[in-house]
Amino acid sequence: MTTADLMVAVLAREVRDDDVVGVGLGTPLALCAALVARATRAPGAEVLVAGAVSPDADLLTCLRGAPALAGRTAGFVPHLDTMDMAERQAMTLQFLRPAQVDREGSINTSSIRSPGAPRLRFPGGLAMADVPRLMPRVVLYHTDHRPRGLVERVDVVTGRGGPSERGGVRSQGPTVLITDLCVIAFGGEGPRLESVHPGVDPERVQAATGFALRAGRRVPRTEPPADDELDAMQRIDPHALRGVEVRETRADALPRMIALLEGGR
Amino acid sequence: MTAGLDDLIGPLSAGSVVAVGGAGLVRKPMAASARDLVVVSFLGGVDVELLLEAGCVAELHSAGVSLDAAGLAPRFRAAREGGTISFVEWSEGSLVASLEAGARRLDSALTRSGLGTDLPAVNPWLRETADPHTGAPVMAARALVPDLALLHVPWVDDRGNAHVPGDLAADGLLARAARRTVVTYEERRDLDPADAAISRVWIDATAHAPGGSLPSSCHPLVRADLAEVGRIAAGSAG
Repeated sequence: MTTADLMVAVLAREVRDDDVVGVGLGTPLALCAALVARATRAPGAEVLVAGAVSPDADLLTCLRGAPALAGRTAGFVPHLDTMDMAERQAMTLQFLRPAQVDREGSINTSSIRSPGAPRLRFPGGLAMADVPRLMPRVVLYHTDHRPRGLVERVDVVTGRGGPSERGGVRSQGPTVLITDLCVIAFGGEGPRLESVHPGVDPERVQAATGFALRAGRRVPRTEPPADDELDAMQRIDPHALRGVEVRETRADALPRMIALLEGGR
Repeated sequence: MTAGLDDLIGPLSAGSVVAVGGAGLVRKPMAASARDLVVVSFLGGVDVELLLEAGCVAELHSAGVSLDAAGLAPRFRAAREGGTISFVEWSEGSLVASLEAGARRLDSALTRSGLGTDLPAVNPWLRETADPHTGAPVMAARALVPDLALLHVPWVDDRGNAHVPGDLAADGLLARAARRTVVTYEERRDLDPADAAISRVWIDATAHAPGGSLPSSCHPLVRADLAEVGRIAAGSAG
């Protein structure tokens, strides 16, 4: 079992049967999780993949984009319409992978200040500024759990954490953060260490985290992928492209993904 | 670019606002001439990299610039870190609101996008305010009206309508917001105007420019040149 397998299973368990989940092609791990959720515990969930509605396709075919999904999908929704869906909560859940997360669940995809080094600039707001206060629920994930990524306060608030109610739109904001080490829940009296992944102890997690974590006396171990979840992953992503976002598997998975995308032409 | 296309585009000068269609590695019209432009690229990719390489950009409006799977955009990153361009950072939803205001020639449009974020601090086109009817907090996005929208599509029909199978990204909105819209295309085809993605009422000129999106794709006729995108990502092409 790789870290990507574990993270896919944990992300997939966040999807409910009545969710409408939007996922893009830039995040194969989250896309794999949404497809696994539909194949296991949440068959009723609607998954929007690059505009295709709940395509009946494996991860690689999805990554080839909307043209490859014609004939395998319940329909298409234009990109601009998905923004209206977000504003009126016709979409209910998104997975976001920001560069920085803080104790409130606020996220940063804009830029990071590092002392003694030039400011690091990232792609920009994308939809990250829109989603946390519009979606009923947001699940965050981070594949490189270190103090510079999990900070007391983000350098730039690209998206605001915490629950909100504005203009009649109620949002829980980011409820949970799934990393390569653990699962952290937001809300209440501050971030709480829900579980640690197999082989990781709570002290190591706290040392890698830039904010204080609340924890029970005994922190549970993250439930590893069950057989049905592993079966679904194998069926949906036999080439293990889900590993492309995780450090330990990226060097293998990236050239494999590019070769497979090129090869299918 | 060809002299013919130059004529169609008309005069551009420093400060002209030029919107570029497509998204990321999809349907990016590849043409550049004037310098010191204000460039609007909804989701930027190879277009922004090549316009920066050619020194055409003074100010850039975008919800984000990346080379998708090939990674971060090196010239964009260097230009921001070096402060050589003015980058106005939008989110997707707020940039759409701004262009919708532009399309209707309103001064601004309301959206919930970006509420509670630092975006208004880095983007003077965004301001949090209260809805005049209910008092609810909303974001007022100031209108962007491009002087020129430059789009690339696979087909233009005999009546001058643009046909785009698949997702249109923000292209239709750019055509409606801009003062002038020029569409380059791969092929002229006898297609039913009823099936067009962008009506000719929004199009001022069309020009045949085969391969005009390369190295980005133009589905279903042109595939992205991933090797060239890889060279751009490595900082060595342009």
